[in-house]
Amino acid sequence: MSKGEVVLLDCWASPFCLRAKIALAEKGVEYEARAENLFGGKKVPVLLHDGKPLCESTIIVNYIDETWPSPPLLPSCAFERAKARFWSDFIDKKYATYGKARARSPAKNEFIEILKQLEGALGEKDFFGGDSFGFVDVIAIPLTCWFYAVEEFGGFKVENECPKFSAWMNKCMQRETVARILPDPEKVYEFVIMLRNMFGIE
Amino acid sequence: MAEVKLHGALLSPFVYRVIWALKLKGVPYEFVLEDLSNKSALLLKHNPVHKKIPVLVHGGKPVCESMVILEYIEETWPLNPLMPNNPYDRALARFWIKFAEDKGVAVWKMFRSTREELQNTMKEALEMLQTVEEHGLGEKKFFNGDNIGLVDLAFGSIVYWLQVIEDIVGAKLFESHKFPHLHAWIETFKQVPVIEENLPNQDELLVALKLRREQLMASA
Repeated sequence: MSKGEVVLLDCWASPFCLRAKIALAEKGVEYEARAENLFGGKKVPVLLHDGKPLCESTIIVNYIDETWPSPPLLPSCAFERAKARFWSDFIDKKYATYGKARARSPAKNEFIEILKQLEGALGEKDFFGGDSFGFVDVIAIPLTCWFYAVEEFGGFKVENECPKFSAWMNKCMQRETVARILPDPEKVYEFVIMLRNMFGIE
Repeated sequence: MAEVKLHGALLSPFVYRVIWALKLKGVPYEFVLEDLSNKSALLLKHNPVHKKIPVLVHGGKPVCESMVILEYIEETWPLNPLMPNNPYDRALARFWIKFAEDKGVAVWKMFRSTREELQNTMKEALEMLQTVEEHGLGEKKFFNGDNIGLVDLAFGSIVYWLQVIEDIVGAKLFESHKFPHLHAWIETFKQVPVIEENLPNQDELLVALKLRREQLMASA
């Protein structure tokens, strides 16, 4: 199963690192996680496979999927793969627009609108890819551990506004890998409060 | 073989990327011209999320976002591969494709800049070019090595349009002494037969973009 040495430069609070960790766990790949200081300036995650570095979480997850093909994260049909890439790109684009200043809460309406669009992509399926946990689920689920903080600051509950999305989150949390790897949302909330205090944000 | 249609607008760099990929693979397609000021119901049906072109429709099924379309074309028509054949090099190619998407916007921003904003957008575009010159291309003939690939298509549209946009906004950034590798590469790129036969005429592009810029500045 192990094809060479795998190291992940990591930071506990980063949803992008969580993507890589979940993908590696889903594939049963052993790796060494090296914790990096969030404020050290180094960009995480970085995957080192036999010393060869890769960055950008989505690219890392894609690489993990190709290098350790079982169980597959991307679907086998080219059209379904294109859909997965589209939604993964959508999530990253929205994060880039609204998620940058993580310590501030995004406007509630914009946030709900994004989740509703993702609910559209989900349709009646259990997961974004269909019956099995797959690529888009790996890309999306780590961002949800920041939702508790968003809910507290925004004064709303995702469960009430987007029940379908909330149901998908619960299904993902039932996976051993996800449940084990995602940090406690309360811990993330405390971290966000700390960031807000540091940057003097009310 | 199922029918291929490309929904696009004239002179769009994103549409050209898809045209180049289809032509390099020898895939016949029908071009469906969209009026961006009056988007067709069909376009909105195929791309309800972003409502943008290009959209590739294969056997009635739509694929959106130019670089997602390019990977789809690569996987569906494997002849004349445009991506490396090992996972690590493919990951590196995807890194540069993402870089082109994320940082290439500096060129479009430059095009839309007022006089006041131009200094900053020029700086962004210069930084992007410097990184690509040193770390992306280096001494290679193409970004993809000896043969043209998806990364070349991604940067090809950016640089070809930059050469015209520079003239229009009166900024001289893409100088050959500063970017010798990129200068050599864009000439090689333009001489690839499929590319040469499918480039927008630079004069036409200049006229069209000049007009567009005047409209943008007037409404700014």
